[in-house]
Amino acid sequence: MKKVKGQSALEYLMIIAIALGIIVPTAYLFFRYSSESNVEIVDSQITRIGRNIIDAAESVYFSGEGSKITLEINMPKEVSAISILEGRELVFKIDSQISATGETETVFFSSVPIRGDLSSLAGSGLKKVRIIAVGDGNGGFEVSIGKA
Amino acid sequence: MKRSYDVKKEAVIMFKKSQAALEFLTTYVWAFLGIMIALGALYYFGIFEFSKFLPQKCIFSSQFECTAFSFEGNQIKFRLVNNIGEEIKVKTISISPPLDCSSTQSTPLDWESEGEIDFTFTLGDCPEEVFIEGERTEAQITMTYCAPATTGCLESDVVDHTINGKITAIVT
Repeated sequence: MKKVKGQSALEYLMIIAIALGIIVPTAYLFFRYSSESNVEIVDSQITRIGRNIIDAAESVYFSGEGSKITLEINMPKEVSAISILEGRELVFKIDSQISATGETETVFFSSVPIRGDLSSLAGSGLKKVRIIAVGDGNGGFEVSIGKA
Repeated sequence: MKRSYDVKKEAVIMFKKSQAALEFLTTYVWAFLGIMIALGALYYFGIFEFSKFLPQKCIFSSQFECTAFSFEGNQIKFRLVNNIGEEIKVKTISISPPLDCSSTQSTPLDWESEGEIDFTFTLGDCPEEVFIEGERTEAQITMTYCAPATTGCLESDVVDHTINGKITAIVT
């Protein structure tokens, strides 16, 4: 009787050991693989958002003063700041998941003058962006980008 | 009232019980030690390094696509394509770890749109432990650049941008 009990206990332990031996490495590999995939997903999301904003800005600029487009964008949580530099660079600061050193930047260059305060667009969630062609005060146009 | 004979008998029984319990626990301790030594040996021989089953990768932003990479001998090599849509000026490029390495690409470096550049970092005085043949190794690359068409690019670092990338590969 004791021998039978001992055998079943050993078999039970072996099943547990084999299951753990499969689950632990699989979970580790899955976690590592998915974290690397996430970097690529965030990158492609930001590329799409940036290109959409720049395309819309160029579109309203050439449509003339008063033209307006409102975009709905789904911002990933990794975006920590958005800014416009020197009237031509749309800069997304991203919390880098591949570097311990901090932020990485994705930049989109505009062929038309752009301006605006985009700080409130950072952070995750659905955001509305208003893109409008306005006068620059010198007889020309520029594109104002801001939260709708 | 118990007789002294009964007390002695009880003491003998208790002693035998505690001895059995101790022996039982000792068996577990030996089994535990055996398992720990076996696990230690497996760890020593790299059985638990599951990361070697992961693919070799060079992760960069799609704006700087990494098309080739390798860890060869004492060199880290990778090829990037400028997909940002403009000519840029690379101001610095560094790799870590190792911290004390030299790059064959001197900076600042002009990089035209859609141009490919091969970067090679040679380990100079870096610790030899960094590169072990057959080992899976990681290197993080940090690059700062600016667009010459943007005002202030050449004069200051106000319009500089930082990009990070990571290479994970097996040393050959």
